[in-house]
Amino acid sequence: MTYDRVIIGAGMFGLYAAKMFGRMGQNTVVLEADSDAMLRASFVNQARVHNGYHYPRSMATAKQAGQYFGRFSEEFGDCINRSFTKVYATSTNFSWTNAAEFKAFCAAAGITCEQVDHRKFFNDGVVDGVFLTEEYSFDADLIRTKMMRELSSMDNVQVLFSHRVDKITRKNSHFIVTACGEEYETDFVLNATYASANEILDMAGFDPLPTKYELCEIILGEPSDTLKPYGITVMDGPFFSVMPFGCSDYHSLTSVCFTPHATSYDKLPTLKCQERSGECHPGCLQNCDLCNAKPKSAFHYMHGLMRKYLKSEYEFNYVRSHFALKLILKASEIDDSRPTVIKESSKDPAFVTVLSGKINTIYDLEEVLNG
Amino acid sequence: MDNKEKSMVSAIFYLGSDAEQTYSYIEKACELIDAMFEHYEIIAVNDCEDRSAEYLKLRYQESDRSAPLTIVNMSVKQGVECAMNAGIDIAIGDYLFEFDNINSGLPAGVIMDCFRKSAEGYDIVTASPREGGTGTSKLFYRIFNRFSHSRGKIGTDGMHLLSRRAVNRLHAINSYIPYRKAAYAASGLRTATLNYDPATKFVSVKDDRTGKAIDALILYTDAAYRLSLFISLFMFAIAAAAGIYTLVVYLSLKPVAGWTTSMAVISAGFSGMFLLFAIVIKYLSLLVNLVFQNQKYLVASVDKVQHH
Ligand SMILES: Cc1cc2nc3c(=O)[nH]c(=O)nc-3n(C[C@H](O)[C@H](O)[C@H](O)COP(=O)(O)OP(=O)(O)OC[C@H]3O[C@@H](n4cnc5c(N)ncnc54)[C@H](O)[C@@H]3O)c2cc1C
Repeated sequence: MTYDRVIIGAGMFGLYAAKMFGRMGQNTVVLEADSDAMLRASFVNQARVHNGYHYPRSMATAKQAGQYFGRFSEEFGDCINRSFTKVYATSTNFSWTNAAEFKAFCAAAGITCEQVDHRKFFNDGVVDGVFLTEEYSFDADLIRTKMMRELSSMDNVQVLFSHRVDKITRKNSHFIVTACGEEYETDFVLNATYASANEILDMAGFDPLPTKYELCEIILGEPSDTLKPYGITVMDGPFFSVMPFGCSDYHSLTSVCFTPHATSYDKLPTLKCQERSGECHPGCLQNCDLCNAKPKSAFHYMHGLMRKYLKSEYEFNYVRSHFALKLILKASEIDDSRPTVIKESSKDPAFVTVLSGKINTIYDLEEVLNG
Repeated sequence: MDNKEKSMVSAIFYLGSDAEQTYSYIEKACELIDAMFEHYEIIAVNDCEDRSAEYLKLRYQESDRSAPLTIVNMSVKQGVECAMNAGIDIAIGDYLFEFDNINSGLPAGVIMDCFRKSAEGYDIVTASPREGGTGTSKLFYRIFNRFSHSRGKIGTDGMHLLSRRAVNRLHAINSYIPYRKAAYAASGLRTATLNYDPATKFVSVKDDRTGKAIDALILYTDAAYRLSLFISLFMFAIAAAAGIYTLVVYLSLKPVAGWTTSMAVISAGFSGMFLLFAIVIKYLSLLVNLVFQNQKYLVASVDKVQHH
């Protein structure tokens, strides 16, 4: 079968690219290894619609994030939880930033930030500044439904689940992508597999990207009534974040020190748990969230950290953990004004890899895919 | 089924200079904590004992302990007090075990005893050796306890156990804690001391003790204030007496010319100066309290008695 575009991976980026191609009238197929869309990083994350607060050390990124924030919140307005107040606090000790810096930074970046008394939320002495800010939480389940609905209304777009790509060859001016024994011929491949990006590049015989990997745990739990209307992030260093998980009844809990369970510096993610899992290995990464060799939860540590900072009425009761492999690009690859890496390994036929650390940077796709 | 405690605890160690001894002390303490608690973390404060820190890191990686180890490296040597404060600030446990001294000769059971004691409602539990400590430190503790208004008394100690509540309280009272022992005693929280017989000889940690002792006396007791005020008033009294004597001599004995004027100037001048000192000292003590104490009063707890 021949297609104008073959997209590998039905995460947020693969789906959004499919929608763009579909609108352009391109005959497109999305090949996805899992049984549904957005079951890996696009679901297992903090669900934060970034608005720049996280980059008190980089003004360019913050400003850019503000633009993405506005656009994403509008387009996916019905998949976003805005009904909570987002609290940012700067830790008294061990932080890379402080209250005065944070305030000055928000003012310069033009993002909302109102300083309030710490005593409403925090124990004495642990934070030196508390700010009410504007940040939302996206709901991956709702986004999946919305995107799939839109795509299913397009005759020229097909999304195939349980279609793991296991071979990519080049034939003259075409690529032949193989999944489930079927061959998909195209002169434009989009690699949107995030943590598997190097696996796909390797398969096609291209150079890998310089990356490292972290096996991350996102904890979901029930917030106490006092915590429910808030999302709280302590920064900037080894701290924690507890915030609504999309439109669900749960909050997510993460921390810089305890969320990552294992790190791999190899080209292809190499982890100890792979030995126990059986199916998963560096050249064939499986979905960590469905794996039976998941690490033991670090809930007690994250919870300890949270309790150290927050007053006791802000409670969080453990419900379950989700795991995903996070991909971190080496610094040299990151351009602050465009946090998405778009790598063209081949021009004609085209082989493009897209990688981003933020959901709402999908708009970076336009720049390349339109051109 | 194990019946380990569910609370999350932090064990904070001040690294000594002997790498192997430090490691084996930490290892032994961890073994005990591991047996008692389901979740704990280890914090090692490296006050410029890099060899010990490296060795600990290496050995810990080899061991199969799952508790996270955090090493806090101080930039320059700052002494036990400062360094341990950094360790406490990074700790996340509900209970914090402070091991300042790897030569404390702490017997195995003491850790658990301290925890049990704290469960009885003591926010701060100190384990103190029956033998140990130098003569000068004993003298210091005597002076300190004599002039301190705290309920708790301080002495030589091998370990502290703090509840998170205590840490929060301490942060609320003082913006910084130059001398933990004294701050604990002065916190107004319920404190308890358990005495133990050192398993090995107790050796104190080397530190800038004279400086620390003087700071502690100034900040946590009114010994310095009372002493200086006493000296000033005493000197004022002498100067005033000299003034009276001058007046008497002038009226009765007709001294040589000029003597009376000199004496009058000297005694009036000195009286004025010492009176001024007394006032300045009073001012300073008020300032120390204003700057150092965030709170005006300390309440241990509030008991409500209701009529039925
Ligand atoms: C712990 C964590 C927290 C995060 N927090 C946030 C946050 O708060 N806010 C935010 O904006 N971003 C966050 N991110 C980043 C965000 O999750 C990612 O940027 C985003 O999900 C990337 O989307 P994607 O479509 O590229 O990847 P994915 O959603 O991972 O999609 C890749 C898809 O490719 C498929 N695939 C892989 N190999 C093959 C193959 N051989 N054949 C076919 N299909 C294949 C996978 O099954 C998967 O569905 C976080 C990430 C992590 C891990």
